[in-house]
Amino acid sequence: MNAPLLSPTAIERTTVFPDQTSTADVEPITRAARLSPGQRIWQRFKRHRVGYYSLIIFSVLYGISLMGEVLSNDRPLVAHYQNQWYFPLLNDYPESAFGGELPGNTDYHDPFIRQQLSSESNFAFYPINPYYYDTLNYFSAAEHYPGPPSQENWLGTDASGYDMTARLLYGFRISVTFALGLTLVGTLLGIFIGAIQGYFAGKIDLFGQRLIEIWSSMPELYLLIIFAAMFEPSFLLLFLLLSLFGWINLADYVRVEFLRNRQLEYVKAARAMGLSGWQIIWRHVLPNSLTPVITFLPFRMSAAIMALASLDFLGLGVSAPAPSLGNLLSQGKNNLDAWWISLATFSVLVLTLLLLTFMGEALRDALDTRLSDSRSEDEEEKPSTTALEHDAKPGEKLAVGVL
Amino acid sequence: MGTHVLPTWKYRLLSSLPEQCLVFALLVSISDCLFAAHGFAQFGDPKYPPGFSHFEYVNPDAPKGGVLNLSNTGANSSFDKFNPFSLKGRPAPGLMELIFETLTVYSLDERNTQYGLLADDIDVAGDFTWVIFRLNSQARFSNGDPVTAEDVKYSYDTLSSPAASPIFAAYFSEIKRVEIIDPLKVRFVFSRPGRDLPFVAGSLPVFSPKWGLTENGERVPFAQLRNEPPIATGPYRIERAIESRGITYARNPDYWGKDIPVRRGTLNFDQVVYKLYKDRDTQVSALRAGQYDFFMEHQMRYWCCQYIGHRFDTGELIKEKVPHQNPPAMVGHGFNLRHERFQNPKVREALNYALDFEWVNQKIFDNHFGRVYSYFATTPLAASGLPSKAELAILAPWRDQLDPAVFGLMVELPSTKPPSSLRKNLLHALKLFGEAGWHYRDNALRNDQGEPFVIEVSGARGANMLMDPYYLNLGKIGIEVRRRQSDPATGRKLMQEFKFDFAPIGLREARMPGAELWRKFNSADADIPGSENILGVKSPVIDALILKLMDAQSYEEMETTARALDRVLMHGHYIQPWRYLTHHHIIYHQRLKRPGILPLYFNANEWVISTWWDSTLETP
Repeated sequence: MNAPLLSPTAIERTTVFPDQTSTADVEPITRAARLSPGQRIWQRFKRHRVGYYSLIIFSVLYGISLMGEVLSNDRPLVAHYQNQWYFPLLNDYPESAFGGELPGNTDYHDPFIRQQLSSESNFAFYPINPYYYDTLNYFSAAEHYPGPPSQENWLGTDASGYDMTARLLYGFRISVTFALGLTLVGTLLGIFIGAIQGYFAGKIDLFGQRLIEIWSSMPELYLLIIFAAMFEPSFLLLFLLLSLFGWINLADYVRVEFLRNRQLEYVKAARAMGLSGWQIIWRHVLPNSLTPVITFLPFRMSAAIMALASLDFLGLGVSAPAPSLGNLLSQGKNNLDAWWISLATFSVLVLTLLLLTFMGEALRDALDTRLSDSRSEDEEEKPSTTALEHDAKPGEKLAVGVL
Repeated sequence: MGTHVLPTWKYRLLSSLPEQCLVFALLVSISDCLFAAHGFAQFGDPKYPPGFSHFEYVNPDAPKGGVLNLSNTGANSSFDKFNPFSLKGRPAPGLMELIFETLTVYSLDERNTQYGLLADDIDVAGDFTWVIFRLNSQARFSNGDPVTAEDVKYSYDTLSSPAASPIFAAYFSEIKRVEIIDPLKVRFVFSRPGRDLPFVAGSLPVFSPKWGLTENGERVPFAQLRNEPPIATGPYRIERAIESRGITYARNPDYWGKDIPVRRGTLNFDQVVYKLYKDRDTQVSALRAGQYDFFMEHQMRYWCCQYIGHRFDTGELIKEKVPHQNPPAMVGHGFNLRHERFQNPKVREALNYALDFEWVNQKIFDNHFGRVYSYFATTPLAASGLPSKAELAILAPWRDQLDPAVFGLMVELPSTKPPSSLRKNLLHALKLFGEAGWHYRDNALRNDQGEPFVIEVSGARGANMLMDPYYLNLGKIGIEVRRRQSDPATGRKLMQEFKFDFAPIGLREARMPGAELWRKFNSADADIPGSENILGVKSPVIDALILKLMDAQSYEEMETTARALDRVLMHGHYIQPWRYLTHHHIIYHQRLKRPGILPLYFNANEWVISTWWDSTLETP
């Protein structure tokens, strides 16, 4: 559930070295070779402290945000009214269930309902932060909005009177989810297109490159504006549009890797043994071409988060009251005196992007085979400049196939 | 979100002063008399007698001199021309106030009276079909030429031609022709008899035909006049101008009109400087830093929280609410009557009950706004209580077409102030919906066919803050609100094609109550895409009453007609009324001083430029 792309198993699966079996009988077994390549990368990643802790913190934060409905919601988790149990979190109840007259769903912030739920033996158990992202703090005693941080609203309210904490929590969740999805789709598309171009080369590559050139010269921002006018802007629409353009960079890298790998001897050997093109791509070339892909993952995620935030900042993103960090940033800009809006949003964005960057660096180091992974280096923080000195260490041999 | 952003010119014409006309003196019989006077009041006599020395709200002994520093007034943060009349480009700020003069000016303490400025005598036909202005023989252009009837006709011809912005042609459209009687007399003939038309004619700015004439005798087409300094009659001339930074006006020492009554004690600063800022936050910060002297704030968000700092603590900058009596124009939101579900007035009334104006006013506007409770709010033209006999007489012929409620008490807008409450209002809304055939079942408000009540609204950024509570309340009574986000161009197109459910609508502030109502409510326009009748109101009663109002021959007639019309419009619940600013919110430097008597109907910027002075120049 948490950051699935970065979990050890995922890396293991995708970075199995195809030529492992063929090289096994050549070298005496070193300690490094006892581990599978995936495990080795995981070990190296763990050794990069900042990156490792960033992964943990990021996963925890995302995990918390996934439980948002339980932590920050305007509905009670459980309510007990006139000897009956209610679970507003799961079910919608009309007001009449609690003695009200309005026919719509109960507003659990309404003082009348609150009073109904707190009289006599009735009670309601509210989440720790009793606001959903679209809960207007309607019945607050606040003077005017945006309101500063208070006991009611820990991080204050935004310009409309929505709770900042709730909006940040859900904004973070949707940003990260959006970014995960975008990264996944973009990566798959990029690999697929890059692999075809790189492996088959020749005319396919030539035409493909021209098509990509045409495609990449489309004005992305204007397309977004035009589509936003034609269709109802939603996360799905933004997702589709951004996915259409998100793969181009990556396809270039994958193509280059494939172009190089297709010339190597293990590929030639596989071809000579009669494997089909797709088999070779899938089993042999692809796993050896993934280093740039994986290294880029966290950076692609931060780029996706920023893309969503910028579109919302410009007003091209999803419409209110959907939670969005970009929208909060623009509110902060419009209400400079309401420091709590800009400060809190800025902090969340910076923290997210920082964690992703640290994770990216760690991942890059973990996949950098020029770095030794022998135990003697484990204890020390090794600056990357020393990497070259270890070039000739035995552990490196195994990884030759990668580079 | 504040007042409408109008072009400077329109703003000056239409909104610097309010519109209703009142009698301050005795009503005179106007059957066939001919006015020939120093001033002209729509009804009755002008407050100031012939030969008056100055307006009450100025200080005739105000010291002259000093500098007044101002900042951006309109939407433009830079300018590229000195011609405020052409369509293309961005005119420099202050041109209309400081460089150009009109034939007549409104006084700021009467509802609807003009006094001669360039004209020293105004003759209005007894049947209001023409007006003759006699020009002041002393009037001179900035190049020293006297102002003649030829020049007035030239100005009119230019402004009503395609060389000028179409706003002017539209504004002067009811003037049929301009005739030169003698070198100092000019007659404006109207296309209909109208008491309001002498005011339109008097608002004509006059400039010299030599503006745009090059030294070798060639003429630059009017529409292409940009950097040529205007040759007009105003008290200032352009001293220095930098397109992106600002413009400095300096007093013209040879100004012809120093001592005429409408100018005495006014325009006291030797220099007026406009400094331009790229965005609003910078502008406000510059004010805090003391870079300019006066600012009028209409965004309460800024008013409450941005004007702080040592200059405010030490009293160098003063923050003040100045009362005014400008009648607010009806603004609010309307429902598209072309959709069947909005055609029942009960439904529209019910929808009004879901709006918690008090909440928005408190939480978003910091309680600085009043509510527009009538189409003629704050004036005696607003209806209240039960209709009078005279009003009933006007309404009687239409009895079979009108809701019986019109003949009862005037509409009182729903309020959430105790003893009323939002909960009670919502229940009342449901009751009204019930009467109109909409009932709550299966999680939505549905009609007999089971269709849910859906309203599509604009999801535009600025609107959310103000409208979210309303949409929330609509949800509570089972109405589904769909937000549609669109860019301004698409939004405008949708409005022109009348493809909307619920949209903001605002009447322009106007001196004459009729014309603007006619534009927004006349039946004939309801089916013409792009017309101003965006709500699609089609009512022969409203048409007839507006025409009657525009044609009123006495103040009483206008008042009763306006009240009757107000009842019909308010009971139709066409517009969900919104708010107006009850005060001018101004921030100014303490060295600036103003006359003891406040005008009644005024635009704060013009008021400061024309009547304030620099107190450091006072001799003890």
